[in-house]
Amino acid sequence: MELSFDLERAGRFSLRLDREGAPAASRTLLEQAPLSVVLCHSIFSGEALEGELPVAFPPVERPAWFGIAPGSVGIETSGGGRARLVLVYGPTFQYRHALAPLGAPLHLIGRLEGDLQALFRGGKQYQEKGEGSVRLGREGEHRG
Amino acid sequence: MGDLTISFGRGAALPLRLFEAEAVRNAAALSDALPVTGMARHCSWSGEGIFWTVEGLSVNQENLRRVAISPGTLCIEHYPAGVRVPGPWTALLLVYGERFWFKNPFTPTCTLALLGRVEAGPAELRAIGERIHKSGIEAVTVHR
Repeated sequence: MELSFDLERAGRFSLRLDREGAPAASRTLLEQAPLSVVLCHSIFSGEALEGELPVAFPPVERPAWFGIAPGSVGIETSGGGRARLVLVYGPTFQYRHALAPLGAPLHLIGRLEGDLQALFRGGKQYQEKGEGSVRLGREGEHRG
Repeated sequence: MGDLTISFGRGAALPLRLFEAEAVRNAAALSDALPVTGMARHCSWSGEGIFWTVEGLSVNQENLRRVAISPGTLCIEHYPAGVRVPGPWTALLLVYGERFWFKNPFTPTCTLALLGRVEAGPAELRAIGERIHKSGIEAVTVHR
């Protein structure tokens, strides 16, 4: 199952959800689509974009701390129960909780498909130009 | 060396007091190089800090610190040639919040030298840092 993933500063991608590894989180995200999220550049983890989601997410299904590749999309639920969308855009990403034994893992929910070089270039723009939005929609739906 | 000021392009001018006793040579080098201009951007790994690269500033290994750097502290971040980029890389870095952790605490080749402190309240400092995070890079000048 895919969601369209329109990044204001990087273009359009498809988000292929990991329905087997993260079924509940995938279902939650699908139920919320279409959805807009304001993304800012990460200030602790390097080459990633982050933004607050308007809904709570289920407990950890597919945790990860290390070796998270560009194009990966995850949910971070630390910080008072709020959920944050995390999009990894570059190879030097180091998840901020990787060295904290009690730190919250990143719940991986899927991967972007498309031009990852364009994603890298666009990701850098969030540090240069500031925050920007991403719109998630069901593939094939009308986008006005 | 007289009173110095850090001016930001979108507004705000913060008085800067150099650590002339603890950072004798670096304080003198900065004073000799004034005005120092750059484009401030938000840290991507170290948290609540902003930095701008400077060229031609001589850097001395004095008043070094890697942890427990308080908001309002101005530092020189330096990498010798070949570590970060082919040539040496130097930046001025201003810590604006409590959540600042230098990204390379265990790498002896890169250094953070404490240089001075801006005279500003925590709210004013945070407003500048968060503005650069949300709105993107901003011109900055250190001058008399």
